[in-house]
Amino acid sequence: MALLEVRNLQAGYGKLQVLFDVSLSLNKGEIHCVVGPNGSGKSTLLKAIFGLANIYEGKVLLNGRDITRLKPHEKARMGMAYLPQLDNVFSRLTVRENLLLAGYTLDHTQYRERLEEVLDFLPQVRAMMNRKVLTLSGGERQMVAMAMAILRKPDIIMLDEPTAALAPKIARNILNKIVELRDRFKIGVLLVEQNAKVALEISDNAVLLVAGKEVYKGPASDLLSNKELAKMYLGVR
Amino acid sequence: MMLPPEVFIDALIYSNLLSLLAIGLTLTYLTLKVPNFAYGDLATIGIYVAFTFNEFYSLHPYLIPPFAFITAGLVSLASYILVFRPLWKRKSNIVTLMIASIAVEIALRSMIHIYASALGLRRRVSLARFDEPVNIAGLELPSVLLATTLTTITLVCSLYLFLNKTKFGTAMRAAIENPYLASTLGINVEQVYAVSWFLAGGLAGVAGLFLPFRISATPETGWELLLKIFAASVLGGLNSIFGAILGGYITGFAEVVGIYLLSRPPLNLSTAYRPAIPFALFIIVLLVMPRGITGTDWRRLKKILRGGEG
Repeated sequence: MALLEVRNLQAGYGKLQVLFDVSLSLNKGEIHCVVGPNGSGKSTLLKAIFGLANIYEGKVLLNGRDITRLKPHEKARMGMAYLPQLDNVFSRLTVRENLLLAGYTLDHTQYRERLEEVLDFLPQVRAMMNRKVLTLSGGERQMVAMAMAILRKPDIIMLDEPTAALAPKIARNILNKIVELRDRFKIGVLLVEQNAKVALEISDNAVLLVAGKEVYKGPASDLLSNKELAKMYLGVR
Repeated sequence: MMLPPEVFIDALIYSNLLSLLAIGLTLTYLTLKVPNFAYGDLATIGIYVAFTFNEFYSLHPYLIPPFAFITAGLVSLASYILVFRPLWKRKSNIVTLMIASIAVEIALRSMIHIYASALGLRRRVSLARFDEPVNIAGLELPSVLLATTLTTITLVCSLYLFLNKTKFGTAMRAAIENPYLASTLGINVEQVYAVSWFLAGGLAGVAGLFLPFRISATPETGWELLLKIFAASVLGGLNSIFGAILGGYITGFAEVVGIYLLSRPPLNLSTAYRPAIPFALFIIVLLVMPRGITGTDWRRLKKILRGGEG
């Protein structure tokens, strides 16, 4: 059974339909990336799965259970983590408070254990615990956001352009951490990434969206080697 | 010129209550971004809870704050659940929410009128007889000064500890800053907002309870206070609880001390001008510092002033 299954999803915002009949399947310990040109509905797909966009038709299954109509906080409690592209940390709170909220659904002992695990995984976060997020750089914020997402040891983590607006070296560091996340914690990762080439290189499977429709679905390496599609839609030469 | 102690005492009592009210109004504004016109009536509920418990159960007014807090809190919560939350979930804009709050205000005020009438209350509510002087280190002070100051300090400190030292309070601050992100972390934003509205109502109820110690209250008292509460809240920045406290004290002192000074020679103005002071302050704040004290970039303002001087 797939960890996450999206079946024939039709979704959007109010009367504006963005996604048309999109399906995908994500397994444990796998990175599945969603690529496509700007405005193709990549972010909307994550939002719809997480319950932040309207679903008109189709189903979302988590471990075989229909979660299509559940609210975001209910999905979060079921083991789903979603990292938005913007405003993914509480800037007026300290890093410690942000992490405390990331473990909102955990009891105190569980929280302490997970926090130590996360700080081992992202040691740079330990040094910023008492700082207000307002004072952090873009890369540091992204690290905190990632720490928040993995603190709950989710079964699945959905990342919306985690490297947007970051320097190449920091972006590479973040992507390496995503790979490490999959290998170390066996989490299923659903990744939306603007830099399609790099995303496809680290992903197991991929879906290519164009104007809200699936144009390709299958192994990421095959999409990367499909010169026609890669050149036409992904800017990969 | 020295300020007579009774003017200072009057200003402090009034400012304590105005601060509590401004904190509550700010709390409701922070959650749904609605200027809640029904907020003043929650203070009126506090007045009538005090009257009812005192008249029918012979309870001393100083023992009534928990009842006033719970009753006004529950009414505020009901308004959130029955009116504001459904509208917010339908993504209603600020105008719709504001008009809804006016409707709630009219409904609440009418109900308070009916209740007062059912009690056979033709006269105004006053609890001034309970304001006995207390002797502290040779100083004779009105007991309501101590009661309001202690209550305000207790409530503000409790609120501070709740918001900063508890997990739920931290979640409340987070849900206020970014409800969307809070929900992705498993925080039930609607529940957090419901608690905010309950607390806001509770603060109004407690503040209202102390009003009849100094004024003769009627079902219109809360409505009449509303613009002053707004003035305090806007002066504080409308986005900050600390600002609301500050706004409450500045507005309260400006009103009481201001009318004392204006009514003396050489101006000799009538005290009937008293309500105009917070309104004037409100207008000045909107013109000069539209973001209030806590929202103003003081460094920039200082630079501009220095530049102007230079």
